[in-house]
Amino acid sequence: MFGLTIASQKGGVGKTTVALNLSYAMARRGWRTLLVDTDPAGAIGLSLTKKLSQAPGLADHLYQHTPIAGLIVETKLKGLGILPTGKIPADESERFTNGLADGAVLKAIQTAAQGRYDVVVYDTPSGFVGATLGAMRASRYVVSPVQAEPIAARGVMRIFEVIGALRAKGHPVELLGILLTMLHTKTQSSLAVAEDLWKTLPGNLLFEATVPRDPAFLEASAAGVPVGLLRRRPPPIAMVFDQLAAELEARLAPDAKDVANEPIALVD
Amino acid sequence: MSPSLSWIDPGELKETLSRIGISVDGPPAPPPSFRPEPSEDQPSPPPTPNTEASPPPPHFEPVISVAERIDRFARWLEQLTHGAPMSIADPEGLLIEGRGLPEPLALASVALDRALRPIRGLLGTHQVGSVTLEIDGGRLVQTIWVVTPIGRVALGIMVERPLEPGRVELVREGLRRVFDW
Repeated sequence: MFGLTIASQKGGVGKTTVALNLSYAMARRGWRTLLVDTDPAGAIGLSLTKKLSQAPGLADHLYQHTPIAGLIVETKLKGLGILPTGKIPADESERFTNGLADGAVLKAIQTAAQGRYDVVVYDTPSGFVGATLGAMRASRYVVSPVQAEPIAARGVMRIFEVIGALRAKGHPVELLGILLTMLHTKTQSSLAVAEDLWKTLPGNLLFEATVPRDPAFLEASAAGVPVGLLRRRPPPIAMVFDQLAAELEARLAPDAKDVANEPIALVD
Repeated sequence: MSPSLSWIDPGELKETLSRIGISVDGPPAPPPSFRPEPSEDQPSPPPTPNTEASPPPPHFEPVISVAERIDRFARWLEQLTHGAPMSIADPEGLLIEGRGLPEPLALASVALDRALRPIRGLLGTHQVGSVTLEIDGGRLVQTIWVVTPIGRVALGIMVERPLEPGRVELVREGLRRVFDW
């Protein structure tokens, strides 16, 4: 069991899209995955269904100590659960996010989910404050999406600095990788940013998978589903998250999960 | 001129990454095959100036990065609006910053901008002050535009009451300063 935080300094880079679709892809690959929405805006719920966006969740655990087990929403995909944000009064966002900042509540979720899940994925609000810092404190690993455009790329150093500061204070969090998102392969300026990061950052830091800017994401959020469930024959973009999940597995510590690595015979 | 689009200083990067146990000595990731190869008719890079013969570079005041400017503006706005959810979108409709405002509402600012183009033409102005959209439950999304060197930037804020004209102008000035480099 380990925690995996999806975090970035900048908003609008696709954190929720990554958190949701990566969780779905990981669960399909056999990881029992609990997706926890720490964003007071309830982005995961808003990406899926109205019912989920209004369901009790993390806020109810934080304020009323409702047991976590009763708040997890099981999905139709076996092994994928979601802990929504819950109802937060409009003027309580700051209190909510500050209540998660020390990481204790989010770490306790892992303890509560032990044996039922292999990984807890935290979707976070933008910026390295409050709930995002709490999720990073509670996590072993961080994946940071960076939008393929200049302003986002110019903020990329911040994630290294924040992880360095957390590690200096004894939190064993590791950066699993930087994920390029919203890459527009037909726009020279977007490609130029990607090329700059490919050249500048060490090769082991960037995931080979990149998330293109694709209307299928808009379709999926309008339909309230992960992109892999958009239709019976999912759009090609859904494969990106399968690739990302596979890369992620290769980067995880060998003791994170027992994986049989032998080839699987197609025929006897 | 900055050496790279990301403004990452290799020395600083190496030092920062070494503190979190990441080596920078590994080979860079191979670029995907979809990148266009440079064609032969592209202009060759300008020759490197002879630094020995050139005068020393002029002194510049320390430059605050755009990301830092946006962060400072967002924090200032947070105080001004008591933590109202907000977003900033660039002229292409890409979110530059989002703090709590659901993405569909942020994108609505961009759609509004496009819808208002004919009205701007009628009025003969680039500025249409701000537009306030009532969505549901009495929630309002106020969109404020400002013309910047990168084009028209849209700021969306979810408020209980529309900002007063004086505050709108204050916000617009703050946003203008973010992109005034």
